[in-house]
Order: sequence, then structure tokens, then C-alpha cells
Amino acid sequence: MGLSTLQPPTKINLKGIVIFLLSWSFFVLIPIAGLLLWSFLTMENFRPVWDLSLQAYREVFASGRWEVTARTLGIASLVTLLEIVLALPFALWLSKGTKNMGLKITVLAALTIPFFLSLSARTIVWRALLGLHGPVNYALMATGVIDGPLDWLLFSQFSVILGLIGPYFPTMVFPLYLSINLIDDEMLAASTDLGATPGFTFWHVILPLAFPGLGAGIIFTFVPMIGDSVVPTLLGGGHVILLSASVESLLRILNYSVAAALSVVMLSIMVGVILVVSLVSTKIITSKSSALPEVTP
Amino acid sequence: MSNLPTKVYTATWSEHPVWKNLGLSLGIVALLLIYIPIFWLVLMSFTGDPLSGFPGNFTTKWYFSLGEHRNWLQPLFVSLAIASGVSLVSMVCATIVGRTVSRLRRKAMAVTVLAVTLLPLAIPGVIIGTALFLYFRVLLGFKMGVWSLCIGHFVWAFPFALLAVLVVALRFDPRLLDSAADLGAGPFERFWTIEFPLLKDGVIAGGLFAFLLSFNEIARSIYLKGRTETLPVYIWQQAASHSSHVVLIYSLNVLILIASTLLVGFAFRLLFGKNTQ
Amino acid sequence: MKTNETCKKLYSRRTVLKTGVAALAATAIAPCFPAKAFASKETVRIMGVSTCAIQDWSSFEKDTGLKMEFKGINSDPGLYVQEVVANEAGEDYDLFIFDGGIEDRLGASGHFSKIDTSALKMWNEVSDDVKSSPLLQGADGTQYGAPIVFNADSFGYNTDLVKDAEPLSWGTVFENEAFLGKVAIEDTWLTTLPNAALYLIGKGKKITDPANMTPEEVKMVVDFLIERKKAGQFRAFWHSYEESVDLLGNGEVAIEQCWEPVTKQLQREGKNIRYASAREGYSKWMIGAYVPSQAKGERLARAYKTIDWFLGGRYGALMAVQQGYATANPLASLKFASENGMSKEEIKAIEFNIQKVKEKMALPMYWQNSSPKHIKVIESEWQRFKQA
Repeated sequence: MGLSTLQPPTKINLKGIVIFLLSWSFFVLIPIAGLLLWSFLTMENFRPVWDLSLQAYREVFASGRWEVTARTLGIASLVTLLEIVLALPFALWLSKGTKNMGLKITVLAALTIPFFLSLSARTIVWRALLGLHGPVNYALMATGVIDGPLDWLLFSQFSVILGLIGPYFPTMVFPLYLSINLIDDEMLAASTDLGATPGFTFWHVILPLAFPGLGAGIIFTFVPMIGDSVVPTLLGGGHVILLSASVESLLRILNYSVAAALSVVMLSIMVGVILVVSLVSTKIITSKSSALPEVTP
Repeated sequence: MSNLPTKVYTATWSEHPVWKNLGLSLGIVALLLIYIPIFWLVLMSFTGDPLSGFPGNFTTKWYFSLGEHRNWLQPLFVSLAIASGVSLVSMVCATIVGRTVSRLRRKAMAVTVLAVTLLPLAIPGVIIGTALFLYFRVLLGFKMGVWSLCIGHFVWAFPFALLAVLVVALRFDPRLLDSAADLGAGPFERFWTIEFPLLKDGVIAGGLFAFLLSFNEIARSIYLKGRTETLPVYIWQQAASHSSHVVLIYSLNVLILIASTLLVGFAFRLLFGKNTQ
Repeated sequence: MKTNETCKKLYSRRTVLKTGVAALAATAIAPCFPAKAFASKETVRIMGVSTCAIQDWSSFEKDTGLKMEFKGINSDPGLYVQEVVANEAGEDYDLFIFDGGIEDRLGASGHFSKIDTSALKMWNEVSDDVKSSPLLQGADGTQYGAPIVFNADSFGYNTDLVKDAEPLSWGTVFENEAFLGKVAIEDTWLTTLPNAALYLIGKGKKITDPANMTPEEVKMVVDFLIERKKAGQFRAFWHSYEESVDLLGNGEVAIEQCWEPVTKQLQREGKNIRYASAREGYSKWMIGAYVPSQAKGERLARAYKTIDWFLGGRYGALMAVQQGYATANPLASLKFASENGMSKEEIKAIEFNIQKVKEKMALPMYWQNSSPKHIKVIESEWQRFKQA
């Protein structure tokens, strides 16, 4: 038996990940750490002036950019929540509710295709649809629901939120679908056989097993939304200012230090969020999945 | 799309009408929110005065004008090339990192790896672009070019690819590999015949995500492009002119819509079609 | 994009179709060949704002014998400075074309060369008040730029709704109780703050230079704007050409601070839109050509040859007809138009443009300034306005 000479397969080869982490540090982590440095410095003609100060942080709070950060986090959380409500039942239906593979593929394709199109192009058409003289207002007035056009349909928080739902729906569905799809049908059948109600099965079998998918979905959706400048710019009409517009305005005048300070503030908040999400989901996975029988084909 | 064999069983939990109806109707609402603007976009691409906001005065002149002024072609190819490269590298790296992370004994280490990988996602794209620019250009003195563009896109796309792989890898049972080893399979054979087929869906999803994220990336590209011009950058620069670029907004996107529908339809059929039977 | 009359005449439907098909065929093979394989002619490389670009450079190539490689750039001064200073774009490009004002900074730092006016054949035909614009000269009066395109901006309005007699006050935009929620403004401090300042000066407030305000003056202007925003004056802030056209075009707003081509396009579509003569003055801008200090020898010669073409009649006529913008030498444009058989309407448009520019330039105005002294305060105050 030559088996003893083989390396035990569960022992992991760390070489790949170490190389990766080293390059990742060089190309990504150090530049990001640099932000912390830039936030304390000023820059003249792309040469840093070595004069440490907290001025940039004072600016963040004085010019109201702080409120922008809070508003951005608020809107992004709300839309992420809406996406969960929309996507979780849908992902469930898509992975377990239909056996029609053709339909599944069509739906998955329909969720992928919009990514190829530029977000500005997809967003700018909402302006025509929701405008004072647009078809939505027209239909509402023609049916007698309202007497005059609704001005809050466009250039308001409403339009920004509406505009965000579409583009960020697929990013929530995909990871959820992937993780739910991996749940063995037999396990669900077993749960039913043992007399569990659908609700019970959902809470105690599906949700814990779908947790990595949900965690990934939240990050996929929430994080890019924070940095989205297209939707709020085109549909907010200058009334709903979110973070990226504020940062872009700073970079336009080469005010790197305040932009860096703003990012450091944002980063601290986000790192907290991500740590909590990954810690909680890791905990739930380990506790729940170890309680369940391992599924092997 | 799971490769697990599906048994026929009765009284499936999932056949419960609540899920079917609720899930389906919520999905339809969301899909409408995605496709109403796209439908309108198509309609507008055939409209004489698309900026008036109403369809009418139908014409194909915008498409002809697209064929006449082909400045958008070069940037399109650059975008496709970069997106393919970034997608490929992301898939490889995500597989390497994903399968290792999911098997690390010490959870704290796994979380650390995950945290540093996801870190750049927590910063708005323009800032990442600026941070990389200041680092490479101002601090290290390199000139921006395709390479910096690729790094910027990779930093953006890789975490997504990794998450997609992890979603699958976390459910992978490493004991399968032990059994395979018992049967005398070498390390590569074990990976290729047992592990990879199970990770495949995640890897493909990750690669697709990476491709799409890179293809439409603009915030980082602005700072890292050097002399290279990607399609989103090109369109963005055109938008600054004091004249209309409706052709680029409407007609070009409709062409991309058609091309991507064909491409995605073809790719999905190829990848998942064999499971239909 | 611009389907003007000339274009329609030049291309019958069939040729358009043919070009389209040929284009798609070329698309398929284009990436196989490096672009340089085709560049048998000498190439002039320009990095310039897209505003000054024309769609088809073949007339340029025929006139000068040079091949044009035009790289468009967003009219964002920060990015431009980054390209020129940090990315040393001067090594790659023979000529920069950008919104004037930047030369105060980049000229002084040695990134632009002084223009050798004797090397330009057309220079003497350009009128002095255009050449001597502070947007072309450094703070010390050094000539760094040559004029390419310029205009004096005001606002457009729907004549069906706004019936006041011209010239109109900037109050039509900023303080108009009859049109609350029916006004759009541009989302930038660069134009909006000085325009509001012009209005406040008209009301008797003391502001020395709208384009270079002191922190106190900026604060006063922003306080006024916040008050108007809270009153519900502004329906939207726009960022791009398309947005400004759709806002005014489909009746979302009745009055809009905008670029002149926006109103021209809407007029072509048959809408009753007019570009206002502003009582208190205009926001005047100029796009200039600047020679990077790295351009020497043959590169320099190409740059000058190119500038000469921009100062000539063909470019001027094109800009006047399509955009309604002024160029360095309007008389040359007129001469070119009549010698080259442009239509009567087009010649009329050029004449009208000459007259219009003359009238506008006679009024008080300020030069748009992309790098005012207190730029950080101005940007920060602008954010305060946006968040209010």
C-alpha cells in the first residue's frame, strides 16, 4: 500500500494563498493604507506636503459630508432590505419551485443580460417615464387616480430607490440561488416527512443553509450601491446627494486629503459591517450545518 | 444546476403553492423594474427625437450613424479584452483562495483572509482608483497603462468571484477527497475529477461576474487608464461634449443588448443545457 | 448624432447603408491590425475636451495632410491637471485643447510652452480682444493659448410660458416665484455660483469678481441659493447635455441655465425655446489650444499647423452652424462658407452668430475660472448648498 506516502488530502497546501495574499497586500492593501496617510497630508502638484493635520477630518464634519455618508448608508440599507424581500422567495422558487430547466436558464439569462448594458443608459430612461409629462403620470391622471401630475415621482428619494431596485436585484438573486440550489431535495423531503411545516423547514433548514448565499448577496448588493453615482445623479436631480457624488466633487478640485478622510470614515463603518456579517454567517454555518447530516452524493 | 442526482419524491415541500406564487410574483415585479427601462431604451433607439422622452417619428438613422462613426469600436474591443483577462485571472485566483479558505481549520484565519479581500469593496470606486493612482504613480513612479487598468478591475472583480466560489466551496465536504485518495487518486486528479466539478457552478458564476464588472467599470478606470480607452470611459468622455451622443446611449446599448442576449443564451445552454435531460 | 442639412445631402440612404455594412465588416478584421499599420501619414495627437471635437476629421486631414488622432477628455480640470502633471501627457500628445483658465497654473509650472505667434499664419487675423483673453494668458500676461471656441452662456426658456421682455434678469432663474419648481440649473459651482453672484450684484450686493469670490462672498451667495432651494425653486440639477435637453424639451422645467446648443437642438425639433439675453451679464468661457512643453521639433511644427487649421474658416463655419459657438476668426468662417457653397441658411446662421457674439461681448461678464483662489472653500460651500 503506497497510501501512507501520499500527503493526506485534507491537509491544505498553503502556497497558493500565501503568494496571493502577498501580492494582494502589495497591490491593494498598501495603497489603501496609504489613504490613511493622505488624509493627514495635503498635496501640492502631486507632491505630498509633510505637514500632518486633522484639518481634513474637520472638513468632513463641517461641510455636511458626514450627513451624506449617513444618508448613503441609510438608502443602501433600505434598498438591500427590499432586495432581500424580493429575492429570497424568488430564489427559492427558481431553485426549488420549478423543475423546468429551460425556464430556469431563461430567467438566469434575463438576470445576467442587463449587466452588459451601461447603467446610465438604463437609468436615464426612467426620467422620461416618471417625469411630470411622462406615461406614468399620464396613466394615473387618465384613470382619475390623481388630478395633477405627481412631482415626487422623479427627482426624489422615491425615484432613487426605485431606480436602484432593478440594477441591484440580480446581485442578490445569484448568490441566494447558488446556495439554495445546493440544498439537497432529499433533505427537504425528509424534513416534510418528519412532519415539519413549510415555515419550519424554511427557518430551520433552508435559511441556515442559504446563509453563505445571503451574506454574499448582501455584500454584492449593498457595497456597490454605496459607491453608485449613476442612479442618484440621474434620478435624484441634485436633491438626493450620495457619497460618491460628494467624493467626485472633491477629486474634481484635487482635494485628495478630504476625499481620503471621508473614505477612512466610510471604511471604518463598512469594515465593522463586513466583520459582523462574516462573523455571524460563519458562526451560523458552523453551528447549523454541523447539526445536520452531511450530504454526499 | 446541481450535479446531485434528483430523486422523484412526493409531497415536496417546495411544491407548496405559497412559495410558488409569492416567489414568482415578486420575481416578476423585480424583472419588470429591470426590463421596463430596457424596453423603453429599445423603443427610443428607433425614435427620431429620443430626448423628447416620447416614442414616435420612427427611424433607423441612429443605427446608420453608429456604423458611420466607428470611434466606439476600438474602445469596445479594449473593454472586451480586459474583461476577458480579468475574468480568467479572477476565476483562477478565486478557485485557489476559495478552496483553501473554506478548509482552513482556524476560522479566525479564514475570516481575516476574507476581510482583507473584501476590504476594497468598502471604499467608493473613485477613491480606490485615486488610491492606486497615488500609490503607483506618485509614490512608485510607474506610468499608467493597460496593466494598471487590469489591476484596478481585478481589485474590483476578484472579491465577487471569490464570494461566488465560497458560496459553493463552503458546502463542499473535504472528506470526499480523502475517499478519493484512498482509492489512489493523485492530488491533481482529485481536484479535477472530484472537487472542480462541484465547484464549477461557483467558479463560472464568479468568472461571469468578474467579466461583467470589468466590462462596465468606470470609476476606477478614469484614474488608472493612462492612454488606454475602455468603452465606458469613451462614452463618459463623449458625454462631456456640448452635443448629443444619443447614438451611444440608445443604439449602441441596443446592439450590446442583442449581442449579449445571444452570447449569454449560447453560453448558458452550453454550460447548463446538458442537465436539462 | 448631428443630422444637419449638410450631412443629409452628403449621404444618400444607400451610401449610408453601404458605409454601415462596410463598417461592420471592418469591425471584424480591425483588431487584427495594429492601428499604426494604417498611419502612413504624419499623425498629430491631440488630447482635448470633446466639446471642440468634430465628428469627422477627414476635412482636417485633407486640408493639412496630417492624420488626426483625437483623444477626448472630460472637461474636468482636476482630471486634466492629473493627466498633464502626474501622467506627463505632454510626452504622448502634440497639443492640448482645454477650457481656458488652466494655463495660469500649468503655464507657470512649466507644463505649457509659450505660443510662438510668429509661427502661426492665421494669428494676425484674430482680433486682439479674443487673443488677449485672460483664459489664454498666464497671470503675467504670457501667451500660452490660442483661441479655439468660445461663448457667453446664459439660460434657455420656453417662450410659451415665459412672456417677459428681453433682456431677462438672472432672477428668472434664481428668484422666480411664478416658476417655483420649474427651473433647472447646472450641477457645478463653476457656472452656477458666479451666475447667482451676477444676479446679486444686480440687486446691489457687493461682490468684486463673481469668478474669484472671497470666502465671505461665496457664503453670501450660497446662503441665498439655499434659501431659494428651500423655497422649492429648483426642479433639478443637470450634469450632461442629454439631461439638459430632456428637462427643457419635455416640459419638466420651463427655465434652464444651460449651454446654447441645447436651445438650438430644441429649436430644430420645433420647440418654442429661446436662449436669453441676460441683463446682468454672461458667463463667458473659452477653449484654448496649449502646446505641451515636451513638444519640440517636428511635433511642434505639427502642433502649430493644427492650430492654424483651427483658426481658419472651415472649423469656424462648422462650429457656428452646428453649435452656435464663436471661433477665433468669424470673418474667415463667412468667407469659407460663401466660397465653398454652403447653403444660404447656413451663411445666415454664421452672420447671425457674428452679430450675436458682438452684442454679448459688449455686456458686462466674467470669465469662467476653473481655478479660483479659494477653490476649496467654494467647493465645500457648493456641497453645503446641495445638501441643504
